[in-house]
Amino acid sequence: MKILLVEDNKELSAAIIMRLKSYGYQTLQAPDAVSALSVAIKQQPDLAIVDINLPGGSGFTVMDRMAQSPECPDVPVIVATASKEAGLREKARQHGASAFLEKPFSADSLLTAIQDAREDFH
Amino acid sequence: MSNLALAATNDVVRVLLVDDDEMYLRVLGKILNRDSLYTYELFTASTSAEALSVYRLGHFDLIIIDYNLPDTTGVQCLANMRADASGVADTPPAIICTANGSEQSAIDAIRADADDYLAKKDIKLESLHRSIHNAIAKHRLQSAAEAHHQQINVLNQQLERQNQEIKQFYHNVSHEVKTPLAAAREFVALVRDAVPGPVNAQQIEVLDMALASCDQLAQHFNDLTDIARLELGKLSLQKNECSVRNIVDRSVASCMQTIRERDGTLTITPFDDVAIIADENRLVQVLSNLVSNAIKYSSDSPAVTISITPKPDQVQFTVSDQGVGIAEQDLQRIFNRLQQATDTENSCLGAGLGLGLSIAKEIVSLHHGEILAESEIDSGSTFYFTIPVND
Repeated sequence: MKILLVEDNKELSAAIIMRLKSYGYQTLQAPDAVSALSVAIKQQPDLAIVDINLPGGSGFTVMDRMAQSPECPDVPVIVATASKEAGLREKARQHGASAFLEKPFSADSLLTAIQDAREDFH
Repeated sequence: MSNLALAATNDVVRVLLVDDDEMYLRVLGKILNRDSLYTYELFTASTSAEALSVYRLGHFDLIIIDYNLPDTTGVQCLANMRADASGVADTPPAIICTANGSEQSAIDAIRADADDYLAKKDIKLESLHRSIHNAIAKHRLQSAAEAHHQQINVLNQQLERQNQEIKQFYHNVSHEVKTPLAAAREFVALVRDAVPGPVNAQQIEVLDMALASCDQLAQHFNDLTDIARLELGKLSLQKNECSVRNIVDRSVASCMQTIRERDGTLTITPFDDVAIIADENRLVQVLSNLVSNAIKYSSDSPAVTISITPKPDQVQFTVSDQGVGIAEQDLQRIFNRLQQATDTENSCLGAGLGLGLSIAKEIVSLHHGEILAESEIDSGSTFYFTIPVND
């Protein structure tokens, strides 16, 4: 399974990628909203983990664009954010997120989120 | 504000007199000149049209208008001046003089926003002076009140803006810290889980402590964000039907590791599940906070009990421990914000930001419930909170 990680913090991105690889997932990375869409179109991931505060547009924009683009695969999305803003989970749901991760998160909750997202999606 | 002086002598009052009767204008001028309180500078107009053009020329402190003008009524003339946007923003007080003081003209005068009306036949020196003094004083008071009102509005807006900035600041700090913290935590966890290479048991123990510290740090930042929102009244509940058992289970799960580490026991008194309308996540936060405090403030092998008591229209959550207890004088203050941080002498209150209990109290209050504590030094503490079943 190929997982796209959209995260602008280099270190966090490297850590999560290392974790995903340790579970045997193939990984793709995008550090901003614009490249997220092009990577998704070119590499066709099976699942995406999307940060909300991104350069070049919010994670919600990425999700909306992915959903609207016919060349983009229709995949489950996990929203991962450090923000505690009220109503963010709800907003993520409205934009089509299948699971929600609050940073910092443990490896267990990452795995659970991946499972939940896949179940929720099908 | 110097213009607030209500009766400074030698104040020059600029008066616009509107009357087509020249004799009467002269009489008015003489009466005004005999006023000891103000010095008057007089401008005259004999028609409504002329009055409007004079009015536009400069600032006036008072207008005295005859009710019967050749081109329109004094009331209409005043209305035209009041409506004239090219005039000064601060419209001067006005007195309308009527020939006979009929009721209709009085009503018209009041409707036209005149400050007073006088019947010409009754005008005496004192009554005109008094009327003018009153009109000017009233007008100055109104202007002062209006100025104060505007100042308050400006201050309010400033405070509102500052509140927003503070909220945003807390939010940004929290966000900016938690992202690298998430990275640090995950790198530690990767090493601990032996992803980059083997680790021994002793190293795992050390790395677990590093992870616990990362989690504590994240919790402190969440508390700071919460308290900032609570103070701004921005923390809102997401209420849904939820199961009390679920709240208890989730709270216990979040404290299980600490209990194990401290070699403690947690007893849940058997209870029948109840459904309540509440914010589940926030109640888990409250209950977890009470349970983790109970563990934190116990010496060896903490024994913590959670009980759920259904009451009419509400559910009571109880968390009791056999720990160090809280002195009576501290019991009054533990729900205050920053209590721990400021109370350095009291070792039993231990480390932490001291925000947990005040956040718990606010969350319970937002649910229209109550929270209280009972304690005795060296024999333990009991915390209760009630949540209405249907809010």
